[in-house]
Amino acid sequence: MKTFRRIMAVVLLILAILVVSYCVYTAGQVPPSETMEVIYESI
Amino acid sequence: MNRYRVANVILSVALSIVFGVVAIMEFSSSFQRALEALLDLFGSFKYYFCVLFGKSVEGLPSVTKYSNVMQWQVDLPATWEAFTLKASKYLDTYFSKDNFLSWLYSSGEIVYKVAMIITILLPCVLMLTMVIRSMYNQHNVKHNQDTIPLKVFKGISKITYQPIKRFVGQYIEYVREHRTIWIGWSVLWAFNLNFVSIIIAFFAFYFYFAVSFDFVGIYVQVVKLAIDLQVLFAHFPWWSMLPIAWLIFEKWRKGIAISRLNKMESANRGLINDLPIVSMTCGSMGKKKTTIITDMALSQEVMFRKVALDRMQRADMKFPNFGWIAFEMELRRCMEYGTVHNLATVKEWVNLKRRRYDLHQNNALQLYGYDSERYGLYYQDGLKTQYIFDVLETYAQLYFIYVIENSLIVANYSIRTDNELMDAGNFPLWQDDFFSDRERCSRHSHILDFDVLRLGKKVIENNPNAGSFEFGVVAITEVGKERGNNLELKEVKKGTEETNQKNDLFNSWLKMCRHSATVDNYPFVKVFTDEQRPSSWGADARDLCDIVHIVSSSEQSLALPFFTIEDMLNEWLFDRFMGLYESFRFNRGDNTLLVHLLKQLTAMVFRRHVRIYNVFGFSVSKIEKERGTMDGKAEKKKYYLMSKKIYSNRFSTDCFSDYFNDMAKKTNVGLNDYLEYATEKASIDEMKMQNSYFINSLYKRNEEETA
Repeated sequence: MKTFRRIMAVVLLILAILVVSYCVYTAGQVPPSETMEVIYESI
Repeated sequence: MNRYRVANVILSVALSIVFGVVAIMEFSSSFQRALEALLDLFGSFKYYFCVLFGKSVEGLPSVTKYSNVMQWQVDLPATWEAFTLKASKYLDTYFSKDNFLSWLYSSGEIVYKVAMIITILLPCVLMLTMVIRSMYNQHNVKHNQDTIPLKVFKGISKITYQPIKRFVGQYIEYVREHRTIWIGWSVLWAFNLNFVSIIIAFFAFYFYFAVSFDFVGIYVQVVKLAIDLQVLFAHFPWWSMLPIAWLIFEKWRKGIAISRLNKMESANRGLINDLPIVSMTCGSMGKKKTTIITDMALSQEVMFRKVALDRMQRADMKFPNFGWIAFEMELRRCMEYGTVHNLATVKEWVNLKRRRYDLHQNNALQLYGYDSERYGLYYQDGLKTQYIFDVLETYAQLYFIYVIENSLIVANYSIRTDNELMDAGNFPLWQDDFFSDRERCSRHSHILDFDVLRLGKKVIENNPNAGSFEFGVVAITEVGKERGNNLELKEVKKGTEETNQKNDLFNSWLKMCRHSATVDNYPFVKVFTDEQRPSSWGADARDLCDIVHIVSSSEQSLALPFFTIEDMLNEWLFDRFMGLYESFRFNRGDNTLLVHLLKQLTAMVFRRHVRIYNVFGFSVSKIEKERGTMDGKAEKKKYYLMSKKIYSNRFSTDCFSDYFNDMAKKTNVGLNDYLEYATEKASIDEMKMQNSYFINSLYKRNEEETA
């Protein structure tokens, strides 16, 4: 139980970091109100 | 401390000047914004009253418009319509495949950079570890001598870090003691960082919203809030706010933990309330049976006071115009002078007042100016009619139980309580929270003289304490050893001169104890006992109880949320350090710099970890409750043992250890002096040295046969 809880805590921490990073990245990709098109960084 | 006084004053003046200059140079716009918010508040106030009294208004108040003072640096649309459009664009981007791939690519770049750094650092760390290990494997016996690097480190620390730490520590204390300084600085920075403007703007919008119900306008206020907060983010880097964010997070999760612990305490109190007046907790050694009865006694003491307060409030409502405070003060004076010292004398005191009142009808003297003609002397509750002095008698007894400052627990072992009576000269209140951080004065349970619980013969003839027990919480550990069972008392006769378990009528007291303790139809008495087996206590007494069997006790858990990662880090650091430290202690007797630093770090983390577990830890005991007759079905229940409540020096788990200490002190022998067996097989002499009944009987029989 203790090991499972620890694994879950680490997995959830990583997931939280990824989700926040994706949200922040997406916000950076949305242009200011007057610009309509979305510009992506080079893939 | 005096040598710091001048430095403290100089530093305070210097900091005040710096803060003032910074306010003028850097935060002047914040003051203008505060002025603007005040004008907004005035406009909203005017608008509020105009609409309220039906007067005409000219347009909308200024609070609905954006600030003219603060520069717009926030990436938020100005209107609600523009915001919904942008939010829709954000969501489209959020769920787009291209955006996701782009994010993966950019995240991959960061991961690549981190991996590069690790690749470079890893060999260095490994090399360093190997060097340290080989250095620390060199044997020496220079006991408690510091190495040269450690001496240098301590020397530098002594003239740099230590004085600064001492000065900062005492300066924080100095500022705390001088309210004018920290209040002045707090107000100044509240203006600087726009917090004052935000509060004023909130009230400005509140007055406008109360009469306009302009829901769309809320968005403008949110944007204005973001613009006001930009001062904070513009002047301080985001990472400098991490400690403040951490403190807020800590406060939030500690609040959750305390709330969880209080819920557990409520669940325990529900279980205790379900128990009859006498209960017996059973479990084998180490199952925490004394811990549980101590925990129950502590909760019951608090509950008695709460019940007394609750019933006093009900009595108050029966005669709401009576001067209760004057009645309470006279009762307390009587308690101080010793006129009143138990429930019986309380009743006597009220009866005396009743007789005097019935004789002289003097409202001013006996009823503290109560206007009996106007408010009446009788209360009808739909069941019976109560005379005011009947209610006063109940109230006085309840007040007596409530206000007694010492412990309500009487036990055959010591239990520490730290409830505190807060008295500002009016009605006192109890501070009886088990999870408070504040250190409070300790009191201990009363010594249980068993003669006070005996209705028949007493151990001490004419014991002055006999018959004095009326109410309270009685805790008796190892009750079976005190009272015995039917088998053990087989040879004991009721008619002997000597006091014994059969002629002391203790069991009769158990059956009748509620009579002396009942006030307002509530029995203020509870008896908690413990023993290893239920059958160790005679059936006559045991049949009165509910028996609480402790089935199991869980490992310690934590009520504090989001602590698992810190828990893991602490365990990892502690184990790692101990691995190094153990071999270091074996090989070397001196003190080195690296071990000194690692030990400081580990000790700091370890101490915090221990404190967190002590304050927010709990364990769950699985219990089964059954009737004392032991012929019913056992109910499965849970009892929570919260560390902060029960393990803060509440009782000694080895409460009878002094008996054994006393015996051991009188001997000149210890474990070291016991003889050891010479080989794997005991010799005849060695067997005889056991003083065993079995071995002795074998050899006795042999000797008899030989003879």
